Amino acid sequence: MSAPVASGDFSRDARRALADDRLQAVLARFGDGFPKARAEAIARLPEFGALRDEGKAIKDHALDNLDVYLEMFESNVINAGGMVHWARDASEAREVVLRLCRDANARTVTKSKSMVSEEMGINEHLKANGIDPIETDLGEYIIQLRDEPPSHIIAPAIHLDKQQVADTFRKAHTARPAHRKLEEPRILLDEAREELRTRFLEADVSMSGANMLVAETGSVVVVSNEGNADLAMALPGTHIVISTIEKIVPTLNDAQPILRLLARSATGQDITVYTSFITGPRRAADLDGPENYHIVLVDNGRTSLFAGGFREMLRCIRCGSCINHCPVYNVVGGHAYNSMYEGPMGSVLTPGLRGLETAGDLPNASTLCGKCETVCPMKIPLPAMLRKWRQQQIERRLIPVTRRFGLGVWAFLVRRPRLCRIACRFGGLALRLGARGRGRVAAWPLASGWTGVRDLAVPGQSGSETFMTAWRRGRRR
Amino acid sequence: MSTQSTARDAILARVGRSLGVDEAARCARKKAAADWQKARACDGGGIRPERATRNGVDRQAQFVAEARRSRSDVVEIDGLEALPPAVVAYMRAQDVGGVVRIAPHPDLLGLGWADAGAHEVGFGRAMPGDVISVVLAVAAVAETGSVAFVSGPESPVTLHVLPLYHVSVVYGSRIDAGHEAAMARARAAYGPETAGMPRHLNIITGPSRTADIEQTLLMGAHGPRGELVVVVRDR
Repeated sequence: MSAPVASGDFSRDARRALADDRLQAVLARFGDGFPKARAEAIARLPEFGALRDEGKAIKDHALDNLDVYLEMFESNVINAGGMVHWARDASEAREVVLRLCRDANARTVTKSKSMVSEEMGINEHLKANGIDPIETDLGEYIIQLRDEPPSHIIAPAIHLDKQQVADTFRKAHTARPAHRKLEEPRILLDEAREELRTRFLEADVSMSGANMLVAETGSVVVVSNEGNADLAMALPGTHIVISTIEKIVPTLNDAQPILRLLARSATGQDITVYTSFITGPRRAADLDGPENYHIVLVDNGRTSLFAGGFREMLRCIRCGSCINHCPVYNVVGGHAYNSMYEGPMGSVLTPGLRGLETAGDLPNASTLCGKCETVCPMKIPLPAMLRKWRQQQIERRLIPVTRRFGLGVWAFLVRRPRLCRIACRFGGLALRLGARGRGRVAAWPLASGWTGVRDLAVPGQSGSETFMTAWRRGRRR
Repeated sequence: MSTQSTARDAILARVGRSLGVDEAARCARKKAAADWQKARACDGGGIRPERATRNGVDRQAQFVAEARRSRSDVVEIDGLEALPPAVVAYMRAQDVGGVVRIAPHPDLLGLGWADAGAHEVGFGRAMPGDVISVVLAVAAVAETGSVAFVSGPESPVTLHVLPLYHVSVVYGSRIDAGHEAAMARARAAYGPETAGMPRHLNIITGPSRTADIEQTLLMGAHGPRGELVVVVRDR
């Protein structure tokens, strides 16, 4: 990575993000664009709530019978003339993809957006073996030129402003005049379109992800707004689909409710511009399309999540709604998560893929405000799952001694109500003394994390009341 | 391939272990899957939004309104002989000239392109440099203003994404209320072989677009910059 965007230490990266004025300006502009569009789209569809229940039921049923549907999917792909490959982990997946590319004598591979391929590190592996992978989604193309990871699952270059994109293009597109005008997004887009056109036409292999796998017909559903996926998979002689195993839905009719949920939850569109159902290679009489068609089905930690109490996470359809509504993501951006999956869904998924030992900060990078669960089209209980990871951290002694000690003291007190009340009373008294009648304190020992950016209100003073008095009055604020 | 079959069997075995490995549990899953498929066949058996169920005149008006909402241009004509003039007028409005690439479908052959003023006309798959393509939709969807195509010798897939503009020809009688019905129509048109699905079933809703640079919405990302939907009214 040319510019290190993440150290892997969430708190350090979050602090750096907060101090990055350019990033903060971009995030402020990002703001409520997606949530507003989503709200408007849902207002036009009164059945949205019922569709969420249906979507959840479909995925639950598919996961509860996953082995049956995977075998059904496999045999239908083969019937349609495709090849199915299986990979337990990233390294097996990389080897399968490399072998398929070599079989096609590939020099270049045009890729349409696939989070799974980012998970596998496919691009690095192909490059190391002399094959040039080209990301064709505009946002992915920009960050590939910058050698940066994506910062949002559906808007990978959301952390950049147009000046940064212009600088990137000037550096990368060296055959063009150095002093050309590149101020406007339209000009930038047209330049990228021209550059990528050649790559689309020259490519030997195309590679795409999958939004869904339909067991009934062996079809793969791929959605895109740019048309890059459809263009990529129509031109070269070989098309490789890479997907994880949990993308299965039973029937074509089951794909429809999920499509109704997906675009509305993601960008606030009623439907994505291009929704493609791909089944097998080109037929004998077809005038275009690939002769060779492969699907790589990857596990990479899904069966562990499946068995380990995180099965509900596998309902995720990667719409990004939880990310768009997350107050933490909205101030730190995507790179602080140091994963291709950001925000609440990333904080649940990443520890499952990389281990709680390395990604243990992420389940703690949440206020558990619950917004993510209320906007999740698949009704995934994200806060409960974050709590489950936190619980495992304590059980497996993966948190620092100081935090363990603090939690121990807290647990000791709250299990003894009388003692707890006395302690709280002493605490309140100390705060009142510290506040010297002002009702708030500006600094407090061990609480600089809070008082560094705001005052600490003293309970029972200046209009606030203590938790216990409010509780007794039956007012739970 | 031994690693391949090992990986396959290992993954399926791990899934199976979580769900129950004994023969009774496996049979129960097979039965649950078969029952589900039966229930979801035909009309789908699930929630059907009101906007995906409208009929008659309402439906066609809904289709036109939704297509426009997705930034398609829509014109309505009374017969296919009016198609070439409609396409030529659209090209003039967009201020473009060049090759018109037409899908080799019997209904689209023998129309008066030269008389309408289009002199560079070709049939077949799209070629780099083609300016506009004309394709016959197998179905259309009022719910979202979408058009559906099945790949085949009469409907090459490159026509949808390679040219700068895309024309979808839609018979009014083929506008369905919702996506389930349009999918069923598309599959029936394709035929029963290969699980009733073509290589590529495209559902297209408006022109290609992106908002990847500063969330500025722009048309014509990699696919067409403009989408013209020509509805041929029933006579």
